[in-house]
Amino acid sequence: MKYITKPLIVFSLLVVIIACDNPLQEKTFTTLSPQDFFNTAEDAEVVLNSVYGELRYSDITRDSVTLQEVCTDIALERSGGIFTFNQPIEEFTWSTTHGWLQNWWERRYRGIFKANTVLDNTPDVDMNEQRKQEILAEARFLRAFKYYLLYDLFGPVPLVTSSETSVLDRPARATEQEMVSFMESEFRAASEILPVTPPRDQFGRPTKGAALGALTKLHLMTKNWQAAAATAKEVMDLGAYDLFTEGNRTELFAPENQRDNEFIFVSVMSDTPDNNTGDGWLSHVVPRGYQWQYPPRQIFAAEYKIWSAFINTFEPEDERLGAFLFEFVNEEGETIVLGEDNARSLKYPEYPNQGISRSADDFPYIRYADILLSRAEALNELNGPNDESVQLLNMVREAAGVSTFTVGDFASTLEFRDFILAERGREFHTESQRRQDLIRHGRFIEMAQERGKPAQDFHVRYPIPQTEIERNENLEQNPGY
Amino acid sequence: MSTTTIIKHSLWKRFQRGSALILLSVIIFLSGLDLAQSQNESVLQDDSILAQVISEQKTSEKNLMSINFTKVTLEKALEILADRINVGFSYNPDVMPNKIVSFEMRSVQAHEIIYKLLEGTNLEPVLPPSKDVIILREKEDRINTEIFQDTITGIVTDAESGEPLPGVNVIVMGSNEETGSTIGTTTRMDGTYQLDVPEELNTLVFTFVGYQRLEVNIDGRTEINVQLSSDVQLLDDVVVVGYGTVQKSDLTGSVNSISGDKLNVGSQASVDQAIQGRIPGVQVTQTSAEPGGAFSIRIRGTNSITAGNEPLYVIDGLPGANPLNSMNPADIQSIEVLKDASATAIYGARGSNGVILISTKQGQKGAPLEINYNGSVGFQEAAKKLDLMNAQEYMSFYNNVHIDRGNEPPFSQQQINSIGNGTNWQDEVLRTAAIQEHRISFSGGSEDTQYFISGNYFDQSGIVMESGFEKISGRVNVIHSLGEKVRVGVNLNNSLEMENTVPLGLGVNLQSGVVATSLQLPPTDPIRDSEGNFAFSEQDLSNSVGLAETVDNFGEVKRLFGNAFAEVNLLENWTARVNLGYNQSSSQRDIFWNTETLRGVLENGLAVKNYNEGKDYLLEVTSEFEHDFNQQNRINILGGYSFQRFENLGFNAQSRGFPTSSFRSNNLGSGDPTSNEVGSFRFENTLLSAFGRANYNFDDRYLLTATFRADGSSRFGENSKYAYFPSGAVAWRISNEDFFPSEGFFTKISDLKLRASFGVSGNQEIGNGRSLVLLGTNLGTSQIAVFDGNEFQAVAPIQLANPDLKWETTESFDVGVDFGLLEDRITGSIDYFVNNTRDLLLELPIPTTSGFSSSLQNVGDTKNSGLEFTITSRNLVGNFAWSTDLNFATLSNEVTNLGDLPRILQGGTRFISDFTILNEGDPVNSYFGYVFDGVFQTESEVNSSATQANAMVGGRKFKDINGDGVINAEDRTILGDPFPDFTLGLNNSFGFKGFELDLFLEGRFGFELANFTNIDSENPIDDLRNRQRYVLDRWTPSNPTNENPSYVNPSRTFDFNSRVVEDASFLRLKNLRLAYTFPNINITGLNSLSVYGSAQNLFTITDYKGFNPDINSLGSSNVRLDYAAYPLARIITFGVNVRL
Repeated sequence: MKYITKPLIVFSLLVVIIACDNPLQEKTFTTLSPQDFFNTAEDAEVVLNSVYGELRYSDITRDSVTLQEVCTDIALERSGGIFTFNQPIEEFTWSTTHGWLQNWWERRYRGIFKANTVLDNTPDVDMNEQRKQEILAEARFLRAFKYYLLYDLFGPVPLVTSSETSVLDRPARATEQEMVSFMESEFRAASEILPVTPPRDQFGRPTKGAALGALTKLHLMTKNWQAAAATAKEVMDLGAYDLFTEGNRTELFAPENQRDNEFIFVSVMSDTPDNNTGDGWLSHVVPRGYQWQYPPRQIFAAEYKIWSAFINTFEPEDERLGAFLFEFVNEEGETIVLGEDNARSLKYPEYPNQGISRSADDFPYIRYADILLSRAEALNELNGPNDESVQLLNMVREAAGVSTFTVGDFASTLEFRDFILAERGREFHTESQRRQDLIRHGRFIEMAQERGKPAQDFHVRYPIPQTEIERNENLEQNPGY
Repeated sequence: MSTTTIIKHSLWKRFQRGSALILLSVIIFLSGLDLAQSQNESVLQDDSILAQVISEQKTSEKNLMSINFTKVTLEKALEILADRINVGFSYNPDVMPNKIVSFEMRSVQAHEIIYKLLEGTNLEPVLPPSKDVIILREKEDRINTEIFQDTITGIVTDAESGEPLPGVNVIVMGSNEETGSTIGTTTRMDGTYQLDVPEELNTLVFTFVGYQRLEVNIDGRTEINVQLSSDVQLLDDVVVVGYGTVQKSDLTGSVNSISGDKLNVGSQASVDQAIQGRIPGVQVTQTSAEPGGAFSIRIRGTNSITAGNEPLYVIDGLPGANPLNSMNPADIQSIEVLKDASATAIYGARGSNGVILISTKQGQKGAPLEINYNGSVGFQEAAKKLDLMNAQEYMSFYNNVHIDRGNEPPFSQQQINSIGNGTNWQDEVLRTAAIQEHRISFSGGSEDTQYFISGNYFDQSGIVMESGFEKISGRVNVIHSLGEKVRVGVNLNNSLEMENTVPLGLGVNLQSGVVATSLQLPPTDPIRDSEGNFAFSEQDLSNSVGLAETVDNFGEVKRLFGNAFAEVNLLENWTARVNLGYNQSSSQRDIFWNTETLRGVLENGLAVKNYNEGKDYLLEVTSEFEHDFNQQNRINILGGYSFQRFENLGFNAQSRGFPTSSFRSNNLGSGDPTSNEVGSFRFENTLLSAFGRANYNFDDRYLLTATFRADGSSRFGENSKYAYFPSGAVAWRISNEDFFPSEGFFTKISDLKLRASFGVSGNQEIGNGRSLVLLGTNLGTSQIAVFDGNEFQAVAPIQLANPDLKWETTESFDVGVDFGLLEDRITGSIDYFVNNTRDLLLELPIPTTSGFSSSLQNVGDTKNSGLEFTITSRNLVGNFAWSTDLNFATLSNEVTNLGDLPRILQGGTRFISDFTILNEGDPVNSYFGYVFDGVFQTESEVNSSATQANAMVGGRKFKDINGDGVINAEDRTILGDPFPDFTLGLNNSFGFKGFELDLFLEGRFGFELANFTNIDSENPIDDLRNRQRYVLDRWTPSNPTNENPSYVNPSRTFDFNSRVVEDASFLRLKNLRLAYTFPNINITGLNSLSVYGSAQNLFTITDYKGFNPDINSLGSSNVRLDYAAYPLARIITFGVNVRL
């Protein structure tokens, strides 16, 4: 026995030691190491996919409505855990520590980093040159669009354009000028490469129209009326888009129409949505006891509602009123009337395919109606009420089944401006346009004060998240916070 | 002197009959070897002693036997006798005379036969301490009959019990020099002795195994009665340390030892539970009170912020195997907790959180088979329930609040009248539950082979309906000697754990578990609807009873760990050891949600199957050299090398939309294929280490220890793969100094030792691959792209590289005193320590403009310091015995450096985030929020106070901490911390005539716990959820209290405030046990029988409002909170202990 044991031990020792020539070299299995990656066209595509992934997430409608509409005359939220996040927005008591602002900021910069990764690495990949240029243009568009979303909430932010980042980076904010011209030139550059129809024929990828549309929106936001009108015209001249008039206006968002050519750029949700790939709006909005058309479906404790005063701005024949839920029949067959300030926006309808609390409803960023109304607004600002502006307005109103106007109906630039602002409210509620529309025309603070909120001028910008300020001494907070 | 031993063959046969011992028969080999004779023995002079000894062992009636020898050798005769009386004989064959015996004896006691056999030889029987082998040795000339003077008589008794001690050696000191041979005797059966002493000699020496040596001056007396004190230190003197053992008196580091019989009594699934409260500076916190729930251990506070803080477990020399529930507490011989760096640095990179060494029982040399059985059954109930509103109270509360809000009351008078008692959801899900446990062990051994084999069955139903835990475990420990130079052995632990759990956890709304929903569901909701199905609530909550009854959640863990070793004596003082270890754990979880609950409906039925596997293997070579240069200089040097690799992998799959509930989770393929989800992972990491230790002992007065370890770990950055951990310690046994006063007060001090140590240890508990740039798919599936409604997988960098990533380093300093008082009736130690941790492995928040929100960096420092005190006192000895074990400790913890960051806020639970803070000068993860400052009583108070969002009369008023006139995020402040300032463990044992009473109290004082369950009462996530009854005493104009607000204002902005950070100090009667051992058991084969009743968690004194102040719902996280925790059970058990 003992004669066997000793050699056996020595042998096993040797085996173990020899078998691992570099035992401390760390191997990864579930994740990849960079040296094995980003060599092929497929690699470029899957990283590009991650940039899209950061733009679309399942609470996008919820977060957008809170940050862009709960602080306006359109929406309110009661109940549920997220009342924590909605109440300060409604009451104009939001602080630098608001968790959703932090999420918004982080998500955008994560997307920007990934876009930079694509932009820095794809040029060296040996692949089809045309697709390579498209990939680069898609990444440039997506990066600029994320900056646009940041700029909308926070104003100018640090411009990071390289994927070589480190824990020591402490970038300062860009100037207003740098910020705007960066986005302008990036959208313009992307628009020159992106095709009119989506790359790879996949709905959801940005097109030439998307780049020009985003540029239109940026010009509008910066009140560069001339450029806004001109760029909107460029979109219209593409001939790729028209308004949805094939049915009731609310059906634009129905499953069979949500990829209609009125949509210029959207966050596409999955046809088999789960908690990560669908949109969670509906579960946040319907009242308790609501009977789903396609059960089962969760009803959250949260409840997003619409102010009655806003509903009252609709004309009775407006087809768009069909997006609201005023009453419903419960399980026992009783009709429950929701009453004052309690209507719900069901603009995004139910789908037969759905997750527990997520639906396949795309979240629209830019649609053709917006381009039309943007040009109408810009031309009014430039020239006062004019035939073309009224004509553009009428196109949208006709689609909604309401009366049209002539230029004589508007006595002044201001009158047309106010009307188009109201029309934009009716057309784009629940699409998170309202805050920016009101800010653009100086009404945001004023209207909040009219509602009795302690709103002050600085509230037109949200604060940079406190965590970012604490981590980066070069980052200057917006005034007032 | 060499001896041989006759094994008791009848035992061996009994052995083979035991069906549980099949395995043993394969492992045990018998072979002859030489063995140094035991040093501790007593000569058997008196027949009666031997008779007693034999009668203890043998099984025949009345201790009488008959025997017939016909022409057999003396050796053969002894062998036959051994077989008959179940006692072995050990002797040196060289001195065994070639005597042939032939005689017959009838109805005599066994000792008579032995004397008859030894008649005419030079051999005498001697009783060694184990009392199961009789040593036959050559007689010495003991009595010089020429010169004698006085005849001294007396009786020797046990100092504690007062009982006479037979077999004590009584020797006249100096008789050898005076007379040429030793004069002495041994005490008789009744403890008496008689001895003739030469006139010129004046000192008697009393020695007895297990007792302290006693020298007595005769001073002319003729009767000398003495009491001998048991030599606790001698019996309990070996302490296990890293890669070896030391004499307790030679310890230089801070090591607390707890022997297996001192472990918490009662029914426990885990080892952690068994040591809770027993060791100062070791805090054991339950992470879930559910059966089989885990524990989290902190030794000397919390060093690390991001990396793991759990100690390293070393089981029989196998490091890294956390035993969790897999071990049988009855298998444990001792647990040693290594606390200072002098003790832990030998475990280098894994030592800084402290080390828990678990040594399991081994069979004894030459011991007959001993079978121990312990069985217990009992019941459990919730130690505390929350006081919730009943249906009537609930309805009137919400009606009143709604009216005060200016809304319609939700309930009509008719509804109130007709509701009756409604549903008490908490009572519906809690129950009285059974518990049972069986532990059995077989141990024994020959001179060559020793074995310990055990089995354990543990079955605990949960006090929450449908929950429970079951465990089967087994252990085999065998050591075998191959000749005199080589020893081989194996320790193996195998277990199967089965958990049947119900949905629990931190989820809110639909994700809420059974406990959480039972506290929140309206008492007006029925359990079942009119059709008998589980009713669905309009709250976004599942039906508690439905969840418990219809959701399957079975977990199964199979563990196998152990080691095999070979030890070789290369030279007399030089040994080498090879240790091969293996630790494997495979766990499987099956979950099935049918469509009877709200969540099940929404999930469309859901079946989940998870499989995870972890394994690690260890190769370790150590060598130890020991040398005694002369009586004064002893050294011991140890060196070693080890290689350990860890591998983990897992696979999970889920499916929904089943045509039938019948398949449960056993046929995922029958679900809707479009809903299938799968995942898998694999990791591995490696540790390469070399280590050494040197001990130097000068004259048992000065002790030096130096250790060193070099560790290489795959987990660290390219530039920092290796790290080095030195330590040093000195000790000074003042009581052994010549100058130590031997008069007056100082005679009370039997032992006094000062210790000081300093050392460096590390922490590498960060997970794998943390230094590399990784490209992954798993940073939230939000990365998935969707085009045309179809999903497309995405890959992206998910981590910044950190090639400099290295160990977290703890420098620890410890000074201590070990003392023994009153002949060691009182022993104890006091330690003061300071641990400074630097280069923290910190998940450092970084500007997210980098694309990442954090990166694992070596940034920041923490400091832990405290005082620890432990004392063991035998207060009363004798018939009524009382002993006390007391330990207490203080702890102060602080973050001393966070690099450039002003602070870090952490925490995110129940829609509340950033509720703990890391801040220089404050304890790690102190609670951070607003300070409740009463209730706004009047409009003018609202107007005159600092501007506060949504302020209103009857609403909560908060303190303007920074005095700027506005209540906002800047007014958050530290509300407390989860580190007890003071911990206490107090055990009292009383013994009287076979009765034994143990009382064990555990206390922790001066710490806070965030009670998130209370937030659900303060401000429920949704209106109309049930709350605790205290809200009925709400502010109203007619009840202008400052205690509770009106609950009219639902604002959430200030929800994390001082109202929900509660003082969690508690004192708990953790164990109460009364046992009775039957005396003079006279049943064949039965050595000992005792019965007992025990109660765990009988009462807790605390102001804390939740179920249990000793909980962390976030598991082993440094962020501590209590949310919807599983209620603590009070456990009453009755059991029996049998020794065969």
